[in-house]
Amino acid sequence: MLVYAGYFLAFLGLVFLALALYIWRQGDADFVFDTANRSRLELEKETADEMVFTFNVPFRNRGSQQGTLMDVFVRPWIPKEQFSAAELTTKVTVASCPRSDGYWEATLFPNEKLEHDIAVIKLRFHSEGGDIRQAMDQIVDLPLNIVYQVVARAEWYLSKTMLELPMEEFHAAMQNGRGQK
Amino acid sequence: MEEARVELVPVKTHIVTKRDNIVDVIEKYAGPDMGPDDVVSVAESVVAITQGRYRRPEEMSPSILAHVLARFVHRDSSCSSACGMQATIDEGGALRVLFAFIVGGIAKVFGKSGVFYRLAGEQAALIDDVTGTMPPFDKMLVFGPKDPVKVAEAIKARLGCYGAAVADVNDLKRAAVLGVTEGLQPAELSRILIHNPFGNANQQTPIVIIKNYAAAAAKRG
Repeated sequence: MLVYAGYFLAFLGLVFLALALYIWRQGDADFVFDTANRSRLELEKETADEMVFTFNVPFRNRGSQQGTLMDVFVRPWIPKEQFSAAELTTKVTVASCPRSDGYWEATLFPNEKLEHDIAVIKLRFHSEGGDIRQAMDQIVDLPLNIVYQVVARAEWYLSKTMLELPMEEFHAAMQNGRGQK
Repeated sequence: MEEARVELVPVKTHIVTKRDNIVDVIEKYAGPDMGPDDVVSVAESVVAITQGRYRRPEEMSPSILAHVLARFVHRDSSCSSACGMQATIDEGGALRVLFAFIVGGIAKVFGKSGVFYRLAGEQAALIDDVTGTMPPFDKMLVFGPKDPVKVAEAIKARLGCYGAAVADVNDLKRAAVLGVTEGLQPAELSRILIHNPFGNANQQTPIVIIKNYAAAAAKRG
């Protein structure tokens, strides 16, 4: 009897092992935001008390399964102790199906695609009743987290990629923006 | 039925939520255009949303069974994610889904597909995974509606139309009529709706009036 129980347990072990191997080989979606190849910051809009900067970050699903980016948002790490001259709000959308409302529409991304999709990120600085040029002269290096929620074969998860926008790039974008006026 | 005499009229609505009553919504938007010869059809996902039959993945804890079974389902299926499979298990029961999976797998070896969905319970084929429904429900798993026949009967009783139907239609030329009022033929309605007059989700037209349905049926009959 014990021998049969042993055979049964061995059989269960083999089944478990086979399943684990199959799942491991199947893999899952794996999104990567290629911050090293982001575009330069551009000044898209300027009023007396507001500036909107924009830049693009390529991303793709490099995994072995298709996956859904259920949510993507950009979280700036800029405390008031460091910069309080203007309030910063962010928006992100996908270039192939852009939205202007800041809502990230859950989108399925295939894994076979070799070319990148593009995340368009907008940074809006608003200086209430102030002079935005004067406020932005005080800008510092700006760390940003691109936070994204993935739903694929496995359970959903959150991940993030960090990048930093140097203050010189803000100044250059403002300079170029001024030149284009 | 002579299709030339039947006219399909998509009806735009606001974004319907669980705060809405589907019969009220249809009366508000389609009521003025409805006649006694018309049949009104409504998208099943919208009925399900008014019934509160949706869940966020964050609210779910997929079981080991869901994690494993999801790995063997075609990637385009709503059951291919752990949450989607868990939703199927929650609706159909773990034993039933496991049985459907085993029998479906054997059937597939012999070249017969779709057995899993037939055995796992009607909800298995109706659950929409995330991205399956328009915002803000793109971030939810939307189940199939409960009691679609009762819903159809309630619509007919309120609007005084010839009939009503709850249908699951998509752009892949797939039309399944889940519930109809007495006297209507689901197969015939499926044929009429096969080209997806509901449009895509962003068109916000979850109601389609089938104008002159009764007159066309009488002429044929």
